[in-house]
Amino acid sequence: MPVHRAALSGTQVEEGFRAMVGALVPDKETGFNLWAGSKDPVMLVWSPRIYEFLQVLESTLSYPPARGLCREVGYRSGFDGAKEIEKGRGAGTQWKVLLAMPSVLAGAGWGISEIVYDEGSRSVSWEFPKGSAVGVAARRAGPRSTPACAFFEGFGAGWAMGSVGIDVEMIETECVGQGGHACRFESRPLG
Amino acid sequence: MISLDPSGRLVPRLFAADAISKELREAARSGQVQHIVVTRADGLVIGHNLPTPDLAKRLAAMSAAIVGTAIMASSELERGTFRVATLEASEGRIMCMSAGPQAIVAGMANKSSDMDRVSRLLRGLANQVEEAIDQWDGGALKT
Repeated sequence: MPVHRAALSGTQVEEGFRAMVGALVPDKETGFNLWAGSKDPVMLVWSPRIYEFLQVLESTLSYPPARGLCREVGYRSGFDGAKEIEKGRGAGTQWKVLLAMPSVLAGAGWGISEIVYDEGSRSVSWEFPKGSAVGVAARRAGPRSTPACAFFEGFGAGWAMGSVGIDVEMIETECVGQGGHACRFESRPLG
Repeated sequence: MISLDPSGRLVPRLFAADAISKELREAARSGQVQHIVVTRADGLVIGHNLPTPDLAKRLAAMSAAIVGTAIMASSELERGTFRVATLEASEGRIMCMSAGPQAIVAGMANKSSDMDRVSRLLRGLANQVEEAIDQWDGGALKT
């Protein structure tokens, strides 16, 4: 069984950004931006605000359920994102949709990432060598004892389900918000 | 002290679900509790006897939030160690308790249930869940 891998060059990051921005269409009547024909408006949001969802939730609920809730939101975002990318692609290309994730995310400013999909074990490894945008926001806010990228954990799991159809959770095993060198995620089967 | 795991460790759901399925069925068979969900502290369902997975997912998420908030309140308001959270409503009760630092057991009982028995039943299940997770934790820490 093959192992698929996607890593981006600087040129590909730039191309991804141009493709991402090029597909945004401003609606003059509403002031919304629509992306690639999607009905949902797209907003630019500072990455620390995404991090603060986790922070605010964990200050009341404690970390584990806050992580679970952020992951749930990320999961839906990742699943829908994979389905958007899948449109117009032929059958048998699911792994290509999975491997498109780093390009889409780098284009959207979430950070440069590399992804490896092992078809045999149906497992995914995903790494942001310089940290995810949310991980970097967490590092700037001050060191923390738990991983900061719960939204990304959910996003990666949702994208994996929406592309290659695997029921997994992504566990962040290293986070720049905790003082790590990178943000790393490994899949674990759920079903 | 009972508190949710602050380290971010997460027991694999498949392991925990296999380990507690028999105990969950036995607890549900008692007739004292209508529905039970065993969930990881982050709200991921480990096992349940609810009619649909969506209901189990909702109860698990709510239980995780209830227990997490109760633990924070017990600690920050200097009320000592969290033991159990019980909700009493006009048509029934919901009881949530920690099953060690990584899991939660929640039960839904009707309004006529004997809550002392419900509490003992859920505590027994919670202890079994904790033991099962301890076995995984011991193995995981050794590797």
